[in-house]
Amino acid sequence: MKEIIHYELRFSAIGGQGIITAGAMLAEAVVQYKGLYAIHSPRYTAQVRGGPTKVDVVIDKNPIYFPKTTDVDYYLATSEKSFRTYFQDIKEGAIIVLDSNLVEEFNDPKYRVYRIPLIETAAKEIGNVVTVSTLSLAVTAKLTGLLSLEELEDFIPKRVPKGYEDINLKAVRLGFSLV
Amino acid sequence: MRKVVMPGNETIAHAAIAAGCRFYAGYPITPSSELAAEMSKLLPKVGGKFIQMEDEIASMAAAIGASVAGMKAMTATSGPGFSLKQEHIGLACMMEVPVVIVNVMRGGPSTGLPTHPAQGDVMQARWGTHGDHPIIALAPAFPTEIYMETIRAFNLAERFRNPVILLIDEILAHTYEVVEIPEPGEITLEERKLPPSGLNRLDFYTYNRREGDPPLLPNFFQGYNFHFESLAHDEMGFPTTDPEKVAYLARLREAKIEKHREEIWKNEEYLLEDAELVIFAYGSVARAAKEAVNRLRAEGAKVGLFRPITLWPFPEIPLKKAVGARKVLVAEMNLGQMVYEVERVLRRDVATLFKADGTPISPVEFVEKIRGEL
Repeated sequence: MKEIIHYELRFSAIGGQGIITAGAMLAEAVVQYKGLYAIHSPRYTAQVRGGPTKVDVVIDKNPIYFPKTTDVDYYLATSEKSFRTYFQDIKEGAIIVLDSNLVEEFNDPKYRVYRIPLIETAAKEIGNVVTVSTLSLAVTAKLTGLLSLEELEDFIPKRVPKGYEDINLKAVRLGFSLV
Repeated sequence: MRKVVMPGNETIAHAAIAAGCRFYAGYPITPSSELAAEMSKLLPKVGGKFIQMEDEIASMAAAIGASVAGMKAMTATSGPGFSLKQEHIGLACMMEVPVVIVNVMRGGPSTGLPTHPAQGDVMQARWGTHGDHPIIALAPAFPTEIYMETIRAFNLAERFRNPVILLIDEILAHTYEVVEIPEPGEITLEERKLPPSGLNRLDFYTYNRREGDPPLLPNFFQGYNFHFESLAHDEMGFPTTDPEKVAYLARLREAKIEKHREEIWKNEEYLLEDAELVIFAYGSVARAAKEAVNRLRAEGAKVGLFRPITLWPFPEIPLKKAVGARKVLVAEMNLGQMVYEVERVLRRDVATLFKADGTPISPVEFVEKIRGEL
């Protein structure tokens, strides 16, 4: 992994999809495995389920003063509406990951865009749509190099609810192989 | 010390338990609800009581009731709920009952912006309840500080027998950050002083009370008969309209905070020594300010930050000392509230950066504003 000085990520979705959880897990894991400082700061509307939501994750070598993003390096979105709502402060050259079934065509040479059917993969290939949180986390870890496969294989079984360890481990491995 | 990743709301709940809080009454309201949820999980494990009351007024009353029965008590709310609690905050001030009130600030007025941050309640924290009354309000900004200031809120409440208001905002409440939790032996807890047993009837009211001291009131069920009175009362707790007696008790209530304000004041001074411009900011806004100070210093601009952690009583002397004759920029997530205090204390106009649209002031906005000022 290249040395991280400061890195900003944003995950946006429709409330209830589980993407906020992906951001939460990422922040916890980098604190635990990399000894870095990390915060995650969710934003949702009064309409919690079904409304556009996002979570900002800031990772830094030093304690973090401003707990929000100002230059986003990585943006993952699983809904058209939330993708557009929170398309702000995205850095040129940023990695953008979009759910290919739920976000419309987006081509801009200023960004590195990946289109992955995240929710469909979780539902059909892994067999439970709730694993989309772990799947998105794994995709993010692979694309950014923030966490290794081994680290996630150690972290995920301890973090997810009892009885869901195996399918989430499957999601980790699949996420690493998708990109 | 151990490190845990938690949002501010949960941090306050854990700190309250560590401070000895064993009673919580509340009515859930965004963005404070997670605090109540966490208390409902934690309190039963330590033999404490959690009650979800029918509304904010009742939950404030229940917290006061638990406190007079001897428990360290807390309630938490946000904007509209804070308005409702004001009547009983006055009651607690009048009856000199220790209690901690957490207000997670969101956009207002009225129901405003339930899921967005603001700092619009800082004057309400001082003057929300009617009549002259003493108050303490704390505004921590960083995760570990939120933990420690929660403990301090309980300590101050117990020591001075007064409501203490802990102010955070939606950003601090919901941002998950690394909190460094001290071991139980690393924190100091203040327990309220009680009158000795065996005093003659109502003698505890006057026992050892000097101007500047909180009263030595017994807890319920300690064996004393006594009055808790919301009307202006004499030192025995009986209602009175005698101007001399009314003024005397009012003076005692004010003096207990006033005389100890230097111990209550707490602030951070960041890179002030050679600063040509001093930012005055508190709570989450001060974090953006601190980041901006670093960015501006990297360009060679001489900027510093004065960050009050105790908002009330207002840090008159520390502010005056820290700022001197230098330029000042007051930044708040409201349309200008603490700026009145800053201008009162410094006796001059200052530059301002206000924002009340539900979004935080960013370091970028600070940098642009300050480049224009220098």
